[in-house]
Amino acid sequence: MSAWLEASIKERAGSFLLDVSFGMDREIGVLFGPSGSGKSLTLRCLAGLRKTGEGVIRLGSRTLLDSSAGVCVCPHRRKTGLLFQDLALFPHMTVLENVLFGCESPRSADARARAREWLKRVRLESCESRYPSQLSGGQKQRVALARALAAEPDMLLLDEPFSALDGPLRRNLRRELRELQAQARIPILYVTHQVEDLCALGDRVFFIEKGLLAGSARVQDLLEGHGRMRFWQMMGWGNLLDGAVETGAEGSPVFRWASGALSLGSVPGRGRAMAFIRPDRLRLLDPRLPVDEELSRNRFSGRVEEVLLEGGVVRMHVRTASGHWQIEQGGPGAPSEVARPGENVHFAVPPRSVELVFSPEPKEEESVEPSVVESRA
Amino acid sequence: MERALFISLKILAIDIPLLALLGGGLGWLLSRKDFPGREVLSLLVQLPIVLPPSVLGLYLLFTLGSVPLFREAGLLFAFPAAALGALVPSLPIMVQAARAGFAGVDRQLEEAALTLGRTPVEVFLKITLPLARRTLLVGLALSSARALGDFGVTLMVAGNIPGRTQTLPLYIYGQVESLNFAQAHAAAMLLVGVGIGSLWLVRRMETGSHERLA
Repeated sequence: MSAWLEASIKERAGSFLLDVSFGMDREIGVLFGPSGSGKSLTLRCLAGLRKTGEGVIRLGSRTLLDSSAGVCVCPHRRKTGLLFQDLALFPHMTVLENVLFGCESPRSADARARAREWLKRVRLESCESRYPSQLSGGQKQRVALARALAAEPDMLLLDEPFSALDGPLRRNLRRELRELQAQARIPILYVTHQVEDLCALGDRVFFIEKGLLAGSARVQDLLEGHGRMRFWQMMGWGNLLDGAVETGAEGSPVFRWASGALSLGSVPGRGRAMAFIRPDRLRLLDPRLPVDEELSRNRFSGRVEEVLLEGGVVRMHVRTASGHWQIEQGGPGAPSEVARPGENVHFAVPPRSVELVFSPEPKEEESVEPSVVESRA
Repeated sequence: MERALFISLKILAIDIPLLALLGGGLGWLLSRKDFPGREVLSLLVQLPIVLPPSVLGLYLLFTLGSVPLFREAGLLFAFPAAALGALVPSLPIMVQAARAGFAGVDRQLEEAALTLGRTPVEVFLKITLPLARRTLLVGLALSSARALGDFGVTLMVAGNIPGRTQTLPLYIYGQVESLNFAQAHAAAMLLVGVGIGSLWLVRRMETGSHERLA
């Protein structure tokens, strides 16, 4: 049987080539990968906001795109909700009007009732006559979510909509999204480059790198099972360590793996876990300058093996006594400051940049929800 | 003076809708669409701002006088020429404002509206237009004031015929020539009043637009 959503997209944007094919059922899929890998472009192609040169998109029984047959459904007929990274709430409309905008025959009393129902579900019924500029970040996110869902889409696409939120708010929204998905029974595709989101929200993950699908896996398989390290390595991006959280000498938590240890911020648990550290969170250090105490505990040094320049980002592969590390430096750093292969560099891992994925205890098989905690200093 | 005022008002009644449609349309085209000849069109539309009215008038005169269709219609030195003479130099102001107004509307809002199932026309009417409204109205106020005050181009193509093509600015000129300063002053005061009024309107709309976004 074929999947509910089947997409195969080939699209060129300047020198960038996006070529991805994937399928998923009415579940939550996560597009995961470094920035600039084509995740957002994929969503735009799915929503029809970008005319796709070549490809096929099928959703349920509908064909949204079939370039060989000359079919390309306009974005307003695709019934694909898209939550933009900066939400795109209409500033000249109230919260209720924003939500009503996507409803069919928005002037009817029925539509009004439905829009109110959605606002109630995201717990914003008291804000219906406010303007977006009068809302907090979290409220805006929820309005955008209610608006997208009130249009009764056949598929919901989310482009890092919660990236501006932290901790508890983020967790709440993820839970809400999960509940809404369970009710609406539509495929939801979520773009992120945070492991935390991936593990807490997704059913299935698609690793995208440089415009290509590097692999896909069920999130459950990522968290347990024998082959999990292999899955993680598929994404080829980021620093992944398999070890355990222990209590260190000073009573503070330490993540220890075969060849090294990292001091952590406060984490709620101990036990077997995987640690993921985004390469752009690692800090290169100048050995001549003092560093703050927090960083000095997680200090490493090693030899640069490879330096790659990709779209304004410098990615270094560094071999150290504690293993192989990827370090990314973005932005305005002058190329002359970049280390060359063969040189020695010093770097530190900020304790709060360590994302932990605890392995489920073998005894408690009923807990399917993986517990994911971002370590906080 | 009443007759000149009436002609000026009649010109405004014709030119304001034309400015809104033509200027708004050209502004939208220039800000949103990429087509061959866009830069040339943009340049041509801007040209009346930098050209002297007499040059504009001269070309208009020859266009209206030598193209057979226009010649037979007998537009020159009649009311239609006066309306056109006022329109041409004021159009670029409206185009410029419309261009800025439409460019200022976040494309993502339009895209969001599309994904919510609204047709492109609905999106334009409910998202683009309301969000660009203030800038469009400012442009309309300024360009209408320019149309009302046109002197040179109107004189070149429509002449200064009392009761037919004599607008308020031309009336003032006529009264000064015949040393009727009191009449000239009265008409001038009227135009100054309209000018202050439209600037006040513009100012109010500009400050208003910041309040909503703050």
